[in-house]
Amino acid sequence: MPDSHTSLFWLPADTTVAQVLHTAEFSFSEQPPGATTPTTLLDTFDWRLHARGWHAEWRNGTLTLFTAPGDRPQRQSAPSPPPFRFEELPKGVVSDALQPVIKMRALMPIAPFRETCTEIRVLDDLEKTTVRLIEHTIEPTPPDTPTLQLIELRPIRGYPKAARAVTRTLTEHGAEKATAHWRDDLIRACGKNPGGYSNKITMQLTPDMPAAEATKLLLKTILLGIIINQPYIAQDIDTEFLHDFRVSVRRTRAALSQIKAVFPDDDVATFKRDFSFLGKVTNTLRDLDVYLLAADSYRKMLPPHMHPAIEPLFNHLRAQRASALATVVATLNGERYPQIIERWDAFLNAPLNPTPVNALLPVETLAKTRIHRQYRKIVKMGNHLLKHPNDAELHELRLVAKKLRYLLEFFASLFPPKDMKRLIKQLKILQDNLGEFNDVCVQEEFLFNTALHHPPKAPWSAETTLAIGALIGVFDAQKTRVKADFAAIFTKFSAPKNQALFKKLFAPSKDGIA
Amino acid sequence: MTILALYSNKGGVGKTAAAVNLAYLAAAQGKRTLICDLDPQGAATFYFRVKPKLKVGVKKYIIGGSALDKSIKGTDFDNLDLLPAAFSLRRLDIAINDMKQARQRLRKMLSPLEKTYDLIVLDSPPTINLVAENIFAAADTILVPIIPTTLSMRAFEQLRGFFKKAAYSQKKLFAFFSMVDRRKNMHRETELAMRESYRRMLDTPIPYLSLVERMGDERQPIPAFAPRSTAAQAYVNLWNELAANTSLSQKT
Repeated sequence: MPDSHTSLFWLPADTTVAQVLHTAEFSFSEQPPGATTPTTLLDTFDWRLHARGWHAEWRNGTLTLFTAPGDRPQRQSAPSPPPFRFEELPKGVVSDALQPVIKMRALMPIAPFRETCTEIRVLDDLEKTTVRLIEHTIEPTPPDTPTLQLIELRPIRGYPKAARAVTRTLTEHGAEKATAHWRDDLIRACGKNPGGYSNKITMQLTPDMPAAEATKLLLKTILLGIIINQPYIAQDIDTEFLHDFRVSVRRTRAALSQIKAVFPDDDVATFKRDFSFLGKVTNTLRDLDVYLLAADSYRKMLPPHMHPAIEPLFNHLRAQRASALATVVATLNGERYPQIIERWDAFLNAPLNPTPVNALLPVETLAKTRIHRQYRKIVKMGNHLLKHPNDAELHELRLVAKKLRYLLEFFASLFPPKDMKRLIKQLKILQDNLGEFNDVCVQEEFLFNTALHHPPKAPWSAETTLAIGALIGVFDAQKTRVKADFAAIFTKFSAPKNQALFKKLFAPSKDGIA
Repeated sequence: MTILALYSNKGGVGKTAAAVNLAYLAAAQGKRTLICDLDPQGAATFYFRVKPKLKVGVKKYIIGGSALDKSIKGTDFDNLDLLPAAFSLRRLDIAINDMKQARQRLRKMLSPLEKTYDLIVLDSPPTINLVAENIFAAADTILVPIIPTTLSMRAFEQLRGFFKKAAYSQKKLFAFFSMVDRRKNMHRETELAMRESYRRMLDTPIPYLSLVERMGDERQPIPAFAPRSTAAQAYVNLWNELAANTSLSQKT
């Protein structure tokens, strides 16, 4: 009775279950095939469901979630077809389970296909069903993708020989047992690569690679992040395409400024300008995305009776955002953007220029130097802040820490993974504190300016101004708390154990470095 | 887990038809159901197209456990399994007689199945013997089909007397009219008389319908091959009424 005994097989498309059973002289009855139903599997662009072994499927207004093999599938109604923006997912058990996983990303159709099911019953001499088979004929939507047949074999309790005989026969006729991850195989058959995109840097460098070559390799990988995400920004499916695009732009700028003297100065200057432009032109849109994503938490900061008063702020932000999106899309469709990418791509694929001072230096040596220098800078600045706390230097420290983080990520493959993981983890804690401080300052300023200098067409109502003021107050209290946390967090970061580890990994060797 | 026994001390009253159809309806509602054919004639087993064979002898049968589990067969219907009868069950009362706590043996045999099934339906043999006593002790509800004739009324009184004497709870005992032909005076009169004298007479009758006899040809429960028939509806009504009056409507 329970489905845990069901087996799955892939049957080559050149035969059918009926043909196989007929050839092997089984007695069976075949029902007429069911309706052909369009179906699609779903995931976020960065494969968040896949990362935890989950799958989601949409068919006929029903959204189904498959968690671990052996768990029961969960279903809910979802009348409109995908993509599902996270805020548009109808309420239900599936969206509750998905929310913490997909967060602000949309669920996109990744493997659309048409499925037809045919039920076949193998019979004994009393015409009792001894094995139930369901033949799923799957036609992936992308053109020129072959049809698949997935055979579900459900044994009937008390008839084990029949199940074994049918299994043996199917296998003899070319059926292969499907693995527990058969839906991943289905995704591949539909032309997508599960887990194929992530915004993490996973490249492998070798210690003695010339620095210029290694840096170009790194930058080519980062460029993919820009190229892959850019087309989706205009489609406005979720906010993270723009975010990942900007992360790649920032990484590019960080590499250009932190990995020194590997490229000719002119080139570096040109490209720094180009990518600075790409960063600037997307700033406003990203800021507005972040504020709108935080809308619920803003509401929670206010007493309930003030909730209605803050809504005009969000309406205003939404209008601003629509306009900012139009600007970004126009820019990306303009002339300058493709020129930048073309020029950059040509540069990255051009042969190495050995002239710059560090161009031929082994990349490990250069990496160590830059990382060590940046780390010492942080320790020095942080110690100064412990004695003389001030906001301006906290902001500075955040930028320095960010650069160190990029360097650690760029060159992680050159150093022991466990150590790197530990250092990055420690740095992240410091960065989170400094980042939170920065976020709070920025939001306070933004709200203040919006309230006093940038109302929509007319001045804000008294209630709305009051509500914005209340938010500023909450943020300021948060700022005080975050600043107070800094000392303990920095002390931990610069603890002797960590300092020793940094020294062990990155302290300069006796060879000359730039 | 609930145990429902279909029992009659007379044969040919529509007991197995009721057991099979009610078990099917319970399974269709989502209850994991086992129909246990205790009648060596094996009519329920026949209805489900299962061979009347057991993997074990009658002594091992009543002890239960994994040897018994191997005999259970899935029917063609979701959520519904069958423990078949075999001719060897004619010696079941003799086997039980040799054992300690002779009236509790069936209850002990069925209790490990609690993990797997929400409902067990017992199709009982038409005898009053040690097997019947085991059924009365094990079942949570005993449902007796009665053809409304004078002789049937007498047989039911005999059964009630036996229950009282053996101190089984009368609250477990329900009855319904089966194979009713309202054209017959005797049927109408007996129905009236029995309803007056017995409180746990269910309201729903199962009329005499040729479709019920066709079960033997179709070899399927009626709601499976004739879901919109009067017969199917009658069993649905019977099931609903029984569920409303007992603990059957609760899961496990």
